[in-house]
Amino acid sequence: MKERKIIINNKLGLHARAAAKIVTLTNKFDSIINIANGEKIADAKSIMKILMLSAPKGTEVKITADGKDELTALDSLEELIKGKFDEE
Amino acid sequence: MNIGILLLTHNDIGAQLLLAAKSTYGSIPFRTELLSIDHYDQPTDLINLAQQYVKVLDSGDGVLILTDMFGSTPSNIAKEFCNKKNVNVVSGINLSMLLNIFNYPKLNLKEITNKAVEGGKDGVIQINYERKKNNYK
Repeated sequence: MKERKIIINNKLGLHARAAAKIVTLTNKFDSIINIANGEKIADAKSIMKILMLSAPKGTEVKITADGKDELTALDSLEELIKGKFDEE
Repeated sequence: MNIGILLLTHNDIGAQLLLAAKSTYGSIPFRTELLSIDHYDQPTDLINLAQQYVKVLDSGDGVLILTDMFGSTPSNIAKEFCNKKNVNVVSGINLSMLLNIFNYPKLNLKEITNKAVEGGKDGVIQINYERKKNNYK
């Protein structure tokens, strides 16, 4: 299992469209992928679970991936988050 | 899976929710149709219309009918279909229900029906936390 810590840097935080982009991406991978905001851990393939993290701009989240494509999954997810979901 | 989804609601509730879901995902991975009901519509006409929509939407994998308030005319019309093979009906449509459904385009009718109920319920919570300053700045 691999993990990374990333700051949510887009203006609106993990809102619905950002979460939709996350699940569209993560569902392409076989690995189990999670996003954690403190003690709250969400399945990164479920839009509702991601929204429940209620993570605004500035939140540090931990992303983890476990599976044969875990590295590619984390790279892609990190790129999406750091790229501010192509919103700004 | 190629499940069809019929939004059977009062007025433009279904259309507006679908619009919001579309703008969230960019595109919708299901075939969808809208049937809106006004107070002057005749229920028998609407049942016939709904039957036609269900027929058009059913490609063999089934149709999920989403309606708004249980007990209201739209849900009573939808109820006519709940015992039909390959058709499931869920009331209480909201945006989180739609977003949760569109999250899982590969599931079968039974599974996607469960996701509809789960997503709809998950979206109803009492918001109760201290909002940090500058969250949206």
